[in-house]
Amino acid sequence: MDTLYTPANKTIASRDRLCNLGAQLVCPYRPEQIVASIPSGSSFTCIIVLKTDTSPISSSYQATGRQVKMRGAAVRSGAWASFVGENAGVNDPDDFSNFGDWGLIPYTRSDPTSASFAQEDGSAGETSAFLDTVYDLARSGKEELAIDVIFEYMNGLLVQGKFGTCDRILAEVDIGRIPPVLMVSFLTITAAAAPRLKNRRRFHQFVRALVARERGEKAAERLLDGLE
Amino acid sequence: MVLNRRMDLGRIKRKADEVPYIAVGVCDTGQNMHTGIVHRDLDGTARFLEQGFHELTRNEPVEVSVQYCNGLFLYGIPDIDADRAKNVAGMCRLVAKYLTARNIPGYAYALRFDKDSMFDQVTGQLIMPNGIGLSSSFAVFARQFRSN
Repeated sequence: MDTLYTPANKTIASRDRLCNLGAQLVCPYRPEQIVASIPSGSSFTCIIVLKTDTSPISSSYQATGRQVKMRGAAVRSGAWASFVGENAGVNDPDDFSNFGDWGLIPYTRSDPTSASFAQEDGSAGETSAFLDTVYDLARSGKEELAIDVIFEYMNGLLVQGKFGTCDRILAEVDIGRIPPVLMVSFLTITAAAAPRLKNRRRFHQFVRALVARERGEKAAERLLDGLE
Repeated sequence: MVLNRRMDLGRIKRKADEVPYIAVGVCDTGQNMHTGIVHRDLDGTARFLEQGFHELTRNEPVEVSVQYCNGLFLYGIPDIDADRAKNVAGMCRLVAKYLTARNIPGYAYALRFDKDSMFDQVTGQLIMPNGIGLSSSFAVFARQFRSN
């Protein structure tokens, strides 16, 4: 498989190529493990993302042990990368020395996310604007309005049968930039379409892990009960 | 109106002002019991999203509903996470907005009253042989569970 490596602490330069490929990041010392997924049609800055992002990355991953399982659903420069699993080396977001080199491999057809990303039935610019609106509202504390924006936009897509676009949004939502109430909004409005949204389960797992860490297991269970 | 002794009475409110995000509004009209969801609009107004006469969906401010229901109103605050409650309120706003935008007098999800509807005694599944049916209490049930 064609593998592209990029040194640690450096921005991936071949942005266009990466976008065209759609890619997954793999951790070099555990090459069999997929540690990040990147939707096609998006820009991505690897480690630099973590350095420049002001969102609370440090609260988005657990840091015990050595194993890394990272999902980079973020997709714009300065956006995010979220972690589930363990990685002892990144307690300090500015210290990436333990990351080693990161590799890129193209998506394979068998990867379930590649199919949904390839199904471009919605405008990437439009969905990006939608998410930016959500982030802005979240930042300014307008939760209720953000809920309405999410419900209305996602409901519109679902009514039109644009499941691929909904699925892509679930992969691109930056959970480091929205409070749990808005994570619940994405899960709530997509609940009825869950069987048709391949990324929803992973989104749910992400949210659950994050909420469990911040509020405890019971609170996470209570918050997300019935939204699997 | 009889309240179950095992209920958490602290969750039963007499004033809509005490509803933080959502509540199940129950009214004894003197002729029957009526119910709906009380939710907060974006401007903070408490509204009563209800299914009147099995077919008329309304979303009036609570004080208006109290007047035309002409009876004792109580508000039951559901024991769910506040973030979930905010989302249920958002779902109510979505339903209400959808109705307003399309000028639909009835329930937005193509549901109508079905006298033949029943619960399957084996599976517990709601069966609507004619594909339709919501009373006011079923409307609350459906909205709450659909959005929660």
